[in-house]
Amino acid sequence: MLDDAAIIRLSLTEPERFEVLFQRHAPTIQRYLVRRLGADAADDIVSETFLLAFRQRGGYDTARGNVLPWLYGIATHLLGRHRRDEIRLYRALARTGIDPVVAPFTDQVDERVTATAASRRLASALAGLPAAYRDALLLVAWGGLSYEETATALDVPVGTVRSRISRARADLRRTLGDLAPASTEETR
Amino acid sequence: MNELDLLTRLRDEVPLTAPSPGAQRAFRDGLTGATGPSRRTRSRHRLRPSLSFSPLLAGATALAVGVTAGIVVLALPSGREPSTASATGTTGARATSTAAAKPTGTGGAAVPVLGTTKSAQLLADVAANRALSQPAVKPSQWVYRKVDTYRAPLPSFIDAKFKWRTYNVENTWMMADGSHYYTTGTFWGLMGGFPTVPYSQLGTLPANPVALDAYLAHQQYPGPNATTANKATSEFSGITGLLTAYVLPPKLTAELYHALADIPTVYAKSNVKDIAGRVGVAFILPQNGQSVNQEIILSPTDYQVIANADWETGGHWVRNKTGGWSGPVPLSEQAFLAEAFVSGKGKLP
Repeated sequence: MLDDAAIIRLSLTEPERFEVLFQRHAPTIQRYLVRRLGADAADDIVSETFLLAFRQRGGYDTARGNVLPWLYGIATHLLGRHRRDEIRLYRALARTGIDPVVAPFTDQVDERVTATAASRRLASALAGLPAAYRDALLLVAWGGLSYEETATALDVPVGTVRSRISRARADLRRTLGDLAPASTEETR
Repeated sequence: MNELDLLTRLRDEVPLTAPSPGAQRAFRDGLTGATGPSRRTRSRHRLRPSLSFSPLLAGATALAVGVTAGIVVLALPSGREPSTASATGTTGARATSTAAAKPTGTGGAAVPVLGTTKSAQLLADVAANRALSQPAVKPSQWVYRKVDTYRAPLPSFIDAKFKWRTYNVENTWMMADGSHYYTTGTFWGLMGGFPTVPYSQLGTLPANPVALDAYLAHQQYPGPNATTANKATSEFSGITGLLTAYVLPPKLTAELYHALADIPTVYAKSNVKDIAGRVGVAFILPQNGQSVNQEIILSPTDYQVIANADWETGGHWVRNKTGGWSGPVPLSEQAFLAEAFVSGKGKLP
């Protein structure tokens, strides 16, 4: 199987090869976007992310190998135009205990997922985080990126990522209060 | 379990699935457009604008194009059927069609053609932006409305004096603040419901959409035992009343659209037909334990409210002209066929 970098190299002369990257990574990017913006907006942004990546593939450093940080970076950048929608979803979860992302269009209200108290407080804390902190934190927590990959995605120094995540986690712990876990150990 | 684990758990509630057919098609169309023969001769500089677009603009365009072309943009829960009729232009004033078409829905799931699902949030953004571009109106401004109202006939065993009329188009006049309501026909009550907030107190409403929802819910259910359905129904009904009974300040109208989109379960749907046969885009509160489906239909061109309706999932089907069944038809609906500011009561535009 060709790795991501090889596909990008090939796609410079055979553009249709780029679709392999869509098949390979779109579900992952989509889940990240759905979690942050809900299914509808994610639908739009996931295709736009890959089209933008396709357009910019000539500038991609194929020595990097894994394209996920690059794709997450594009998706996060596009997501920036929907900050208000994202915050609205967190606030809705914090306020109602119903996660609008998980079951967005069902009319079976009673069957919808009811969030735990911790999830509600977590959502409230996410809504209150500065956007840059939230981006860094969620690329790690929801994107599964390392600090170095997050720095690549956001195009900032890794030290900046560390400090943003540290502050974001402190904010989260503060909001979680008595529901906060005992461990505050940095895991990455 | 630390906060990162809690976050991961939240993420894991979203299943890892392939993008929707619409998203896949959008990507492939974009890729084909960029690599196909017709584009190969174009420079990269010319190609860029076609690939780089604002989701909001794209959303508005998709909604408008989808509705105007009479094709379904949204694939959402069951409701009234998608129509193939064209939208009526409503630039500036509300719709001017006077066609008193009967309800013609035939139920069934909407068929996604463009495959682009737009959210209530997107519709709220577009509608709010349009509302903010409208001029403010004095509370004492006379407003003429031509209103088409409909209520489903009740069974024959109900005493005639309690029967609702079916269709009735009438001229009405009122002041922008909802006072001095006057009609050439019979006053049957405000179909959108009487507003729960007096016009004079609109300025005290919270500006934040979430707080606005909470305020409206608390009006009806101040106790601690209100269910999600109780609250959502109160919020949606409360907003319907405000949007239809007054000519609101533009800023409040915009906030109400955002508040609608913030109600859990509310979704947006295009290609919804009103009783006058016009096609619009709608905010819909799905049927729940407290209410039948409720909808507020907006013009697809200027995003003003053109109708509000409620209907029951699976209920009220009628024979259509071809002998088949159509439905579900609304339980009740009012459509604003025309609206204009006039110099006084009884004056026509």
